[in-house]
Amino acid sequence: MPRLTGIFEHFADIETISANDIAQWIRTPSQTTSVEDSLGNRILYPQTIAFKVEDLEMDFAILRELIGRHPEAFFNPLTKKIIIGEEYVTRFPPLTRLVTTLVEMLNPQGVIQAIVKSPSKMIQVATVIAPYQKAAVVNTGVLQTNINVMVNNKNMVLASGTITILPFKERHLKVKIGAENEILVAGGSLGLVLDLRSR
Amino acid sequence: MAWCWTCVAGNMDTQIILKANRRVRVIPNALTLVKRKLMGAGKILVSKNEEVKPQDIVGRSTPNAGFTSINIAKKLGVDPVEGGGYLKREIGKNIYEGELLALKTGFLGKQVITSPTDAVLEYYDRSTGELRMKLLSKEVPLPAGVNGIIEEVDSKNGEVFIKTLTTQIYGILGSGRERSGILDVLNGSAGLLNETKITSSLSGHVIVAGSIIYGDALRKAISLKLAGIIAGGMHFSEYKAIVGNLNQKQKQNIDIGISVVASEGFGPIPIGKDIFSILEKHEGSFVFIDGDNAMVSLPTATPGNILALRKTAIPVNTKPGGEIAGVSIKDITTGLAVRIIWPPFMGSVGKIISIDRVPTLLETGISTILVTIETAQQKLKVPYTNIEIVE
Repeated sequence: MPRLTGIFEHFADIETISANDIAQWIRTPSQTTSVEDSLGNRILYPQTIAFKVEDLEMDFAILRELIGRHPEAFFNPLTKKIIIGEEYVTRFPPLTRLVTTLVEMLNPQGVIQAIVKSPSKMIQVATVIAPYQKAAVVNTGVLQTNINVMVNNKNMVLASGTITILPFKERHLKVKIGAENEILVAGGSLGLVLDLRSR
Repeated sequence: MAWCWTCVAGNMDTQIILKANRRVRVIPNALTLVKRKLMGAGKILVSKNEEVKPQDIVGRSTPNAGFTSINIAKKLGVDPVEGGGYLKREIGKNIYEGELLALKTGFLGKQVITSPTDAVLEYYDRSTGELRMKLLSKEVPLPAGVNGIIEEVDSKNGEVFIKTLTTQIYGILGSGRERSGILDVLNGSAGLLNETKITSSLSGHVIVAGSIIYGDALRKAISLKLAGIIAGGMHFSEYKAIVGNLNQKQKQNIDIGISVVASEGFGPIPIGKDIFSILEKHEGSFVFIDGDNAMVSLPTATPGNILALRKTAIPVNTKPGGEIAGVSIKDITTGLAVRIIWPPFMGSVGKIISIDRVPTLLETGISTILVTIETAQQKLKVPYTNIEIVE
């Protein structure tokens, strides 16, 4: 008989995720048995939504583990696109946190489009830029803590080791990060996501 | 596979149709085929179409009782070779509990060994001093347990199938083969069971434990040979240790020596009032528990129903205990009986009294339609996605 399901039901190995794996992503984790029971109920009742903030923390922790185990469900390395199903946007607000989580866990490199996919359309919400070479954004022999970023001739200084979202909606953006060459990318409802973590 | 939408914030004049899973939890007075099975070799005493009452004996069996041993030489402080000489009953003879088994007299007085149980003296080992005793089998009567009509007799397998009426309760998860026993309600629906309440007097019984079956309580119940435990929840790790996989198709139906049924989910969750009130009413009754199908059957047939039972045919291919109640999708409307399936208030049962027309932004940032549910104690507002319809 058909029944309502939920996002996590796509992942057959969800019950193999350990409580420790989930707890590492939660700021104030509960006891191991509570984390395990929450995961079990999430599997039993996949259609339910997080009512309290701690529920959402738990859901994000599970999502992180699933992204790590099934990157192919979210990222196509050939087309360099992160595809976010519309149901994820409603289940894991805000969009900034969802995209940041995906970038953190997928760790893509280069220029990647982040797209929200609904049954009828695909909308680009952001361009993710993750420079390939750490050396390109540092001075010779010295690790820089701040990185110069120029977007459409607007200069800003960002901390290295971070993922930063810059709200640029324009379709044509000229971006130059540190000593890297200038590139032309599109913005989106979210804008530019700059992944300046060390590699 | 239908998706559950969290928010449809359209035109306020547009009627939004919201859906929820409908799960059958209680089927009252269902026509049921109950199986009664002999323990060990024995004889069926009834025949097809015979009427039976709960106390009627439908069969008798003498199950293999097993063996025990006593080290006679050690107890008497003698050499193993000599120990057999102090036996007061010959090998191959019966002996009964409390009777003189061995006697040694000496300067320091008498040393006496009595038989700990009813048994046959089987063999004395002169190298170890062990006396092996085969326990005497006792005839065990098999009561019908229900008012009903004998539908089928399988003498070869020692089984009797009785047509009767039962109220069937379906939980969310469980483990263990079909068992039966007297129902004891040890706790309130939200209570935590102290394992000291599990005593040997509950051997063969089915208990209602409250909000959770703890591992320690479960192990004690197994050792004291209880038939079953019903609770609101159990820990995920303990359940997985028993069944291996949550997926119903991949679940290993391993019997751990007891049948367990959890009515709500994982962790401590009060048993829903829709189920608990029925269990309370049947306290002291003979009930059937099927852990593998998460089902409890509570006989409801009375001698007055027998005529109606006789006129009603069991459908072909009906399995004992009935089919597993499934889950379907239903439109959410006011007046429906529902249960809350996510914290807070998980396990609460009530009726929908209103459905919001516009979505609410939760503290999580998720925007969704809330429904108002009236329980026996209070009114609760929860996301429509976090309920299941139970009628």
